[in-house]
Amino acid sequence: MNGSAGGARPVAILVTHGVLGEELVRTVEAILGAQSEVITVSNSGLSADGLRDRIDAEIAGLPEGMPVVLFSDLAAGSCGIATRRADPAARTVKRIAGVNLPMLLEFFYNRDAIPLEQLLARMEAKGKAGIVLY
Amino acid sequence: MPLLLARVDDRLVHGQVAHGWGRALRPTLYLVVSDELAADPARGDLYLLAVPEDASGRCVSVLEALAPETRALVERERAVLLFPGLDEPLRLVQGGFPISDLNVGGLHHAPGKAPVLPYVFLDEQDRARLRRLAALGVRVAARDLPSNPEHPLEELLPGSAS
Repeated sequence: MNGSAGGARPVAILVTHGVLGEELVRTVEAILGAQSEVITVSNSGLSADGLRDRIDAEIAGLPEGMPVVLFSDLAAGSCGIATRRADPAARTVKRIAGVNLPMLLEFFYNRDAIPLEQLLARMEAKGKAGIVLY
Repeated sequence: MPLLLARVDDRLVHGQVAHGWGRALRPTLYLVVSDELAADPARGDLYLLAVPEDASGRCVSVLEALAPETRALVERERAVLLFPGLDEPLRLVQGGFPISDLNVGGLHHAPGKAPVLPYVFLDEQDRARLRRLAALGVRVAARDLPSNPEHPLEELLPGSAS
């Protein structure tokens, strides 16, 4: 479980509309193989506070010391806002919005090999580079 | 360097190959062996879009693959060979190209083909080609990703020994 980058393996929590997060994880697994340390949270049926509470509860249920990356689909939508409001005590939590497959592949591919700060910058770059007009 | 992977996959270079297998094998060369794509470079280039930035990709015909310079290139590189179907690897082996193991990673549904695995559909011609490959000493097995179980030839051809 410990990443070779020196710290504990970061956990992915995908906060998305509907079943988008589940299907993204399913697709990542079809490409890379089965993954662990990944949680999906859907906004379906949840209020703004309810979604924020769900995220906090998922984080609270993780072993201490495990860093978390909160992915959301729309930065300014209910999911992005809830990830901004999530307030986990005494834990490293990073947030990235606009989740897409290239970003996720970069994360799952490298989360054991690259320090988290550096990995986040690469995820942002890969996510943007995956958008191509042709 | 021995060949890292020889794979039959009608999607050629795609996510499972570039990421799933690429991560495990770290190839430096993805060589697509297809007469059809070698004759249509514009379409061949499309299939090379997924080649990772730290590797190169080429589409060659079976004849080109058998040429000494291609053989030398494959030996020099950390190479993955990709075939769109079973005809190309059979002709390659018949032409003397050394392939000890053939991975069947994706032969998807087409009219007349029956499901064997979620990612393998075969017709009688495919089964005949698989038997020929096995008879030529090639170890054939199906596996979509390195982390998933391998299915030996006997599972693809029930009732016949490899």
